[in-house]
Amino acid sequence: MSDYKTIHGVNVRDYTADPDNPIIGQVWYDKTAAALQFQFPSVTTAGAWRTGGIMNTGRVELAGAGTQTAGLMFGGHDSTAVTGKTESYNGAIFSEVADLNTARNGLGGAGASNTSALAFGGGAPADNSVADVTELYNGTNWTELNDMNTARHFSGDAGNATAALVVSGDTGSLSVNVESWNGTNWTEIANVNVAREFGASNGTTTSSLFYGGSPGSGSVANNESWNGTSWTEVADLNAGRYNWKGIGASNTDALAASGYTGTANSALVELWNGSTWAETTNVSDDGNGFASSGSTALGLIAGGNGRANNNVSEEWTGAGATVFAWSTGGSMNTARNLNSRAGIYTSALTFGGGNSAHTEKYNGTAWTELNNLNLARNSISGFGASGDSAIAAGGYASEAKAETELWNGTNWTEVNNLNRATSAATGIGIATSGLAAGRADPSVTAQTETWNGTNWTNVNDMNTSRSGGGGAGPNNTDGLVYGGYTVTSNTELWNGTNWSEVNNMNTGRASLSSAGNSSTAALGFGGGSSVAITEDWNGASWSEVGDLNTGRTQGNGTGTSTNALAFGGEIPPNTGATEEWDSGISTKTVDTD
Amino acid sequence: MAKTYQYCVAENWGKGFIEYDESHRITFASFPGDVWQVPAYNKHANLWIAKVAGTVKTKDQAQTIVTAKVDAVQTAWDNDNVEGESSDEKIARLGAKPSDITLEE
Repeated sequence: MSDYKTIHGVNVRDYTADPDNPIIGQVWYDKTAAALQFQFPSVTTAGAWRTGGIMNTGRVELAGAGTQTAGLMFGGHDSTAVTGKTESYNGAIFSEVADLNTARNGLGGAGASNTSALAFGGGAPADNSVADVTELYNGTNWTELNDMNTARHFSGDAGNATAALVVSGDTGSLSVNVESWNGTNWTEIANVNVAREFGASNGTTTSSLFYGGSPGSGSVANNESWNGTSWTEVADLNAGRYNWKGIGASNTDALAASGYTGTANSALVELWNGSTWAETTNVSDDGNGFASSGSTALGLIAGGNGRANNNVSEEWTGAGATVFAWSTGGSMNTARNLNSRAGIYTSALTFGGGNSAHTEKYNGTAWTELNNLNLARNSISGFGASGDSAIAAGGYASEAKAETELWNGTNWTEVNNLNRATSAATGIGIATSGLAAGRADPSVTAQTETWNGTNWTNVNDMNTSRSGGGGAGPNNTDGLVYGGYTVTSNTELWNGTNWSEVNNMNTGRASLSSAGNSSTAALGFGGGSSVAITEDWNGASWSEVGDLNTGRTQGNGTGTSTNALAFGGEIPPNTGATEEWDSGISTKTVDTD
Repeated sequence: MAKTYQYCVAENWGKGFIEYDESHRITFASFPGDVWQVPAYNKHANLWIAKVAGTVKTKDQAQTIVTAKVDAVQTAWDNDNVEGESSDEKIARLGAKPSDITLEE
């Protein structure tokens, strides 16, 4: 029998417990546990859907192209008529761009990104007609190119702007006809076996799949595979559905989401591996007539009938996504609540809180006491890039304060005051460019001031008054505020001039902690009655992720959405407990039975 | 009825008290008085209690510890007043009065 070294070229080393810095795949013998162990990455075992951005124009039977973070949605039927409206998606926000030259619904779409897409066929000039029109989007405008040979709507669609397929559909009657686009012309190729409309396709001109659809009434589960030469019937869907769009790279990689069964919308989602369909995580909001883009790893569906609204989208993240979790870090030297924050995961600062002037710096392992604030207070609006550079603005000490102090890594220096005395404002930014939003005392307001490194300026109020909200963002022109007192889940985005409301948190709460140096990637955690709930913001929506180990309220946090700290607060009583949020590697014991 | 949770008392010493891998495998909840709730009949939870030298408590024993701590902070909250301050202003200054906590079996 070969031993481990003969097979792998190395011996298995003994450790008292675990190695200090194990790497993925490393195998060792844990003498304490008397077990052979190895490292593996912590990733999800199933995919998940979460709310995406909101389109500016709700519609149905539109088409899509591109990816989850660079998608293009075009055409469709809005509340009154067929439309040529086109919207570009960046993974968070839909923006209107140039319209199609020919408005239409039930059209086909293909393309690699939001700057390279093809639109073909559809219902135009009215939704019961059929069109052969082809248009190319170059990131700025749509341009008409050569027509298809056979006008149609409600076809399958696959490929990109220079190599696309239009599959079956309704040409006036159901058709088995398929055409291939080479960047200049459409050419008829081998027919599908079963004619249907509203079927879904994905892949390329040499490797595609065509599934579901309607033969005129009801749905079918048929699934056909294209190898560049012919269509072959392969394993059916678990449930027939139609009026949908497919996602996937080839005839061995597809995601079939939601759709209409013939009697109702379905939330069912199926993944194709080349031989079978496997049911996976349902969509949150079922519907039909939506557009799709992206891949089976990162997909997007947008618009459609029967959903909460015809302007909503959902984003798919396939299995294998990194799992983040909280673990304990070094505790603060002085437990306190209403403490403020600045910095990042490996260089953080907390100051004030309770009735103190304490300042402590975290180096990724332990907190060290440094020089005190000049003015002891709590509920300070704090922000800064690191443990060596921060602003402490306002706060509460018998009354709301306007004092502002600058931290240089060693000492606090008084600088220009806020225009209005303010406690429990949300602080965002760095020492040379920040903002303070909201106020607790003497009343809760929506006031906002921006800091340019020298002076505070009054700017437009938030839409919702609050104090002690979470905050994330890089500077005084880009920020996100969420939650706060009075108990709200409301989330607002600051663009340097105005606040706009975006999707709410799942759990509204006061006195939450937060982290994030970007308005498109943030965390909110704790708050309320010392809850442990953590939510992740991806620029479009909030999603619950792993709980804090120590639920707390009136604490604080800093860092990014992938490397964050939670520190201080009240359990009750006050705590100095620190937790670190990051991705990790898990250890598994080898089963030798 | 089978228990869902088990309780122990253990002081959080900071780094290494709960590691990423443990947090990933076990759902922790902490309560006043250094009381920790982890899943019952769970190998990883048992190993964690052993690692932190936790003193195992019954649910009732844990409840007594938690209640005593909560009573103390509720009294402190009641006694922390500023002349002329409204109840809303007090909540904005201190946060809501800490609530009673009831542990689950």
